[in-house]
Amino acid sequence: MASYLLKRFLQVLVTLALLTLLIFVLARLSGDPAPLVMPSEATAADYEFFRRQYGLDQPFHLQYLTFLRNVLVGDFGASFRYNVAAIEVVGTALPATLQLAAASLLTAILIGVPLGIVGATTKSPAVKLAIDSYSALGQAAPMFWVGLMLMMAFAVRLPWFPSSGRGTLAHLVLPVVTLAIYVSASVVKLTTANMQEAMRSDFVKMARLMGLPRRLILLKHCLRNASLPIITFLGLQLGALLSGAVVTERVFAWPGLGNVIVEAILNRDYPVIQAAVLVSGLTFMGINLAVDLLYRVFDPRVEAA
Amino acid sequence: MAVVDTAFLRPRRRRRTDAPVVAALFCAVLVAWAIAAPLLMPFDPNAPNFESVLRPPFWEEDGSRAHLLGTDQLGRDILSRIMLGAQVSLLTAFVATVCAGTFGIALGIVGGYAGGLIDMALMRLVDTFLALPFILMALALVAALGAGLGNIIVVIALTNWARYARLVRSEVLSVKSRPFVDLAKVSGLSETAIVLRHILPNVLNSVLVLAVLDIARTIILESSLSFLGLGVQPPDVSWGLMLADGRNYMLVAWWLTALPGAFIALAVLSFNAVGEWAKRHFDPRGSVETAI
Amino acid sequence: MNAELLKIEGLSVTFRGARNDLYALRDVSFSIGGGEMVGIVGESGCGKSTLLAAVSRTLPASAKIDGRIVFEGTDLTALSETAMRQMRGRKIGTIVQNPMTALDPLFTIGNQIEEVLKHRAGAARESVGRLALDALQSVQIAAPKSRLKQYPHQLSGGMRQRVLIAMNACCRPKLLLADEPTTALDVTVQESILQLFQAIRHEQGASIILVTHDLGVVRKLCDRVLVMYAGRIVEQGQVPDVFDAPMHPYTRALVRSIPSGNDHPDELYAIPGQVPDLTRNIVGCAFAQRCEIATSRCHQHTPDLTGPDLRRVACWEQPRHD
Repeated sequence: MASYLLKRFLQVLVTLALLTLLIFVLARLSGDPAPLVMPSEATAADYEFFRRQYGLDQPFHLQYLTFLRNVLVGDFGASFRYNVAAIEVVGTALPATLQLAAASLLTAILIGVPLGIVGATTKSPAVKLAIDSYSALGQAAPMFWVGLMLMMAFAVRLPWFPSSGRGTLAHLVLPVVTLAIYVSASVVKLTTANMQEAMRSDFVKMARLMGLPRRLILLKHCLRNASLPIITFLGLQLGALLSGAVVTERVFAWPGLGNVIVEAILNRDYPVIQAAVLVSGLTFMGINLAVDLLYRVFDPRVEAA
Repeated sequence: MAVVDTAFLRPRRRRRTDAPVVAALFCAVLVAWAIAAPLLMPFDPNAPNFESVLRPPFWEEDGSRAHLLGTDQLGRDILSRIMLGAQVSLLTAFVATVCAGTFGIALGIVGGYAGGLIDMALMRLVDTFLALPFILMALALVAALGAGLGNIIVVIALTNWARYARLVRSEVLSVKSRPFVDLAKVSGLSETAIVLRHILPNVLNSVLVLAVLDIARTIILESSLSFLGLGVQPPDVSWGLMLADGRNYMLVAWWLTALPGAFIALAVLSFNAVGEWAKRHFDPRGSVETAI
Repeated sequence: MNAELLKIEGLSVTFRGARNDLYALRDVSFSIGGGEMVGIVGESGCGKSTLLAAVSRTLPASAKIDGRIVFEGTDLTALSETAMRQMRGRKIGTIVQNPMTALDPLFTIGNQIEEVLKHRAGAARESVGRLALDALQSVQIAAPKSRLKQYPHQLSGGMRQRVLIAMNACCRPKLLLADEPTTALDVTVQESILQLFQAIRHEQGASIILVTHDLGVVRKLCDRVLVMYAGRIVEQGQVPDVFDAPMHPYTRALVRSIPSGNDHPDELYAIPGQVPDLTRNIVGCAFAQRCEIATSRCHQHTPDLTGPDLRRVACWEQPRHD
């Protein structure tokens, strides 16, 4: 376990390092940010001052090293737009995104797994068709569209839920449902497939031969075996979940990291862009690692060494 | 229980083909629009018409046959805009996929065939790119390069190439060890010739399957970026952009947001269906991972 | 005692297919009494496994079953699935051929034995732990306490088979269906596994149907033997009788093909020809094509299984004295 952890940790470091280089290079590539930030009356001296303050007059590699050093202490500089540290902007937004993601994941599992079990065991072709359709449509429909449709139906036409912002539980509902539909669609498909495979396995045949109760076989043996790959799959889905979170946050004006990044891009707020992308990347890889570890804990066949 | 394996015996039923006919037809329509939208469009998608503002689709009360899918707040015909949007989305998907594919194939072949350090370096690079969530990379790239159709194509290609590289590399590795390659070497064929004549054709099958499945992914990626305002810019038309535009009129004109989004969903469904069919028939070994 | 435990009458099993049917069992009839160990031998595809699956009613949905399977007076073919489930495990146990995949890899051995004890053997919650330990000890697994906490992948094939036998034994079934229980195991382990069957038979009074292609095992352990060919029983009787004086040409060929130390080292007798295609309704005796003494009657009419209860043969050319 220890060597595996070390290996993964190194991988994360390498990837993160590349990510920092990437955003650093890209940010510098897009040219001088000064004209966009400075008011129009600024003089040449003001530009010089600005450049010096942000270290933009230093040679490239020195800039990068300074950047790295600052990153390690969490200093991304001040937001060009707001007068607070970029890392603070990001720090305030991160919990909101985590809340959204966690709630959506939970909802998706609560919806998806039972539906998946039904999909695997039902004998009615109508029910199977309905579940398969849900699975296909849920994954195909773009999340921003689903979000807008939900908003139109349940916040605009029928004023049941607020259409934007964060605050009460009601604010959480529509964004969570939007994300959950997408994630649960693939959970359903995967659960159905895995359950069917588990139901065909030899140990289930053996359990049948022993005369064990059907529900016990289904919910204990089949489900446990079916849910292992789902853990890995959800890990793979994190990328899609993240992009879905970004657009969902924009649709519902949810004050999360995704919203922050998009706003920052539109405003050319480089410190915030860098901070946000790095923190997102770090969180993403951290969750990935956690999922990997979770899998290893749940599957006794994986050597704990 | 070693019961007779009856897998080969299916219950008596009429055999049905598994080809997704409806999906393929829809894809064909979209491709037709992509190629010939300017010729097929009933109206100029950017021409405002203030006499016919916010008309609902033809099946609603105020709708008319002239504008089958209604008009937007400037009186622009929705159907025409959707057709042009199809051109943009599919073109983006196609070009981006070709770029990503070419780049990925080239690197994959180099790494797989050369082996050793080169291969290892390539794999590290691929793994890193795949470890980064593509939306973050896309956003970072857009932040640097700016928005617009051309840049979006570059962004999408950069986020996708790694999958092709990994697929091609593993295919090359498996083909490389097959006897007919040794035979080719022994009979004196140059390395390039071996690659082009023997390895490439074997690899192309799974690449094509991945490409079809990728079209669906890129449609979503492009429309998401356009929706956010970071993708296609006006006066270019994109389904995602139409959704962002129509957002302000949701209360009075549901079709502005519902219809373009429906087309996105249907396009994704159709291309995925065709891609899955292609995977079943052209990639029986399952080298292509299922599209997410 | 020894009233008929299991009586099979005219059992035929046909697998329905898209293009054609497979006649796996044709008109099989025999009976087993309490405490008997009966061996069923025959080549692959002769229907022996199908027979066991028919008794435990675990055939696939495409199977059509005709005839009766009377177990302790109840016709199993007429039972509902719920009623049949009550039979499985408790009254009719099964040992499968491949123990490697028969246990759930995600649960400990102890968990799976306790599950059976709770749901099939009616054990009280407080005593399952102790009973599970006893079960492992009864099948001679060393260090049973630690084994209970282990997962299937940590046990060898032989040990897993022992665990499965233990799971069956603790339910004290009246009938145990063993489908090639040692085929997948090391030869060194086979002997001790088979001894376990003997033990169950003697200590619990269970009847055992042992399906195998290993004639030596049958000769050593079984009371009676059924010889099957192409879905039918061609000969049955007490083991010494059948092996010492086989009547059916197929049985004779089988016995002949058992390698013994006396054989010429270069010659191993193999029965010429092949098993017939079971998707075609065979006219006449199925073995006629490969039989040395077949006549035209053999090719045209299917011989019935005739003879006294303890000794039956299905062959037109019986009795024949060589």
